[in-house]
Amino acid sequence: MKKPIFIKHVIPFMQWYALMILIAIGIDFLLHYFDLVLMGRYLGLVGTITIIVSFVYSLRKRKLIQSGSPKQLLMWHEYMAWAGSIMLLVHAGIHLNAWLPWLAILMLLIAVGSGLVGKFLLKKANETLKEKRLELIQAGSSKEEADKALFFDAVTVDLMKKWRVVHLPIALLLAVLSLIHIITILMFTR
Amino acid sequence: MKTAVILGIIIACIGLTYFYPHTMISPGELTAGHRTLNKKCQACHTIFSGIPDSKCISCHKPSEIGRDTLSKNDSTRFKIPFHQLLAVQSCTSCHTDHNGRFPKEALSNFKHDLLAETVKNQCGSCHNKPVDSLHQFISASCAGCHNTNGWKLPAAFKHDMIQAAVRSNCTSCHQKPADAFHGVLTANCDKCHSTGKWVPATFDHAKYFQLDRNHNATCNTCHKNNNFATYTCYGCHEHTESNIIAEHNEEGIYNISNCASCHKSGNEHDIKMNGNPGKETKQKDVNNLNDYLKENKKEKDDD
Repeated sequence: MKKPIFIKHVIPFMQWYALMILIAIGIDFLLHYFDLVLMGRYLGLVGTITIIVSFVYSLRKRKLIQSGSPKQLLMWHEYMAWAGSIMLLVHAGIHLNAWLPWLAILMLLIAVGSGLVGKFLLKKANETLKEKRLELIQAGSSKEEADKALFFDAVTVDLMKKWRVVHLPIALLLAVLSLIHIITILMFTR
Repeated sequence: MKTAVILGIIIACIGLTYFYPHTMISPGELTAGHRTLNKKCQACHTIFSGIPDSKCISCHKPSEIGRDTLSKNDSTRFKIPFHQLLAVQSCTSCHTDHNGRFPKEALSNFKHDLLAETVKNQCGSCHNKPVDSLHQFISASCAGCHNTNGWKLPAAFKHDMIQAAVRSNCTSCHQKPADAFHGVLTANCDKCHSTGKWVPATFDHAKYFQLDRNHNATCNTCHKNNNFATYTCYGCHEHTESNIIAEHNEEGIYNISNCASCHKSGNEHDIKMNGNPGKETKQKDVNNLNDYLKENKKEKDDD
């Protein structure tokens, strides 16, 4: 019997997400260990630029630019946004002070999570659900019986679809919060 | 609808930042002394210009910093009011007031580059010399081992900087290893070790006796109880004391207490005479005992 979608796709996705956080913690630890905490400040700038550059894919997707393979650009968007997010997590560190940067980091984590749902889960989970339904029907089950047997898997896929919907609004909110953060930094520091 | 919600959230974020800047963007509480300025950002910050040093200096005059606190110096800890010696006035290089209530928590690493050249290399003008056993013998400058980025750095300690009188007294700083091998040694460490590295040791046993394949034994075989001040060659079946005495007496050699003085290896043809082997033989400075014995025999025949 095939494994449920949650075990086959969702758990590996969570591991990948956790890896991103662990890498950020690792880099942060090394910067503190080697007394290079100032690097964290510059990682904020580099991470932001990396993520902004990755949005070339969004321009291509909405036909605001015409050149470039959408598939290639999507791949670059995924990797660059993931790498940029690690840099921003290191930049943020664990400083429980102002709310605004924390809100921005929260939005970042949600945006990355929703992006990873699109990359790792949704397509594969959909395919698995279809395969399972086909196998059950071929084995002699009716459509209703197949749907009943795959109820939990269908619910999982539906949740993923909803989760992915938040990707763009959350990314937009992240951009606004980041912009306010950058402006206030420029205003109050030299 | 969706657009309106997003727009509302964005406006809310901007509004919260504008009306509650202390909660939204302040990176932390100010130190206790500046508590009254907690919500008055512009008391220190100038928009788009950071924190001008002139604002700090308008209250904290460098010539007066430490005037009261450093008057409490005692004989064990002496600090000088170094703010007056700074070549560059850059208050925020060291003081980051948003780090917490206590002034010491609000200090980042002091940068020695801010000091005037005339005082930068006079470490003792600000720092006390450590009172440990190592530093009491140091005669050279601190910069030989340490630099201004940190005290504990993998800097190359140079033994040359120790006063010559105590440089060879290794145990004044180093503990003698507690193992059986080193336990009985009394000789100077530099016989085997150099000041560059502890390992590898440079002791060359072949200088005293070559440990060939027939003599690849544990230390205790020759050096009883691991006492390296003495040795015996009668520790194995090959050399019994009675046989050795008899063999040497045949050649007129009676003083055989120090085997290695003549036998530098297990090779019976490699015998070097370094002393008077016995009353009946004349001392010969020859390298090969066989040659020596032949010569000795010839002399006897001539007589």
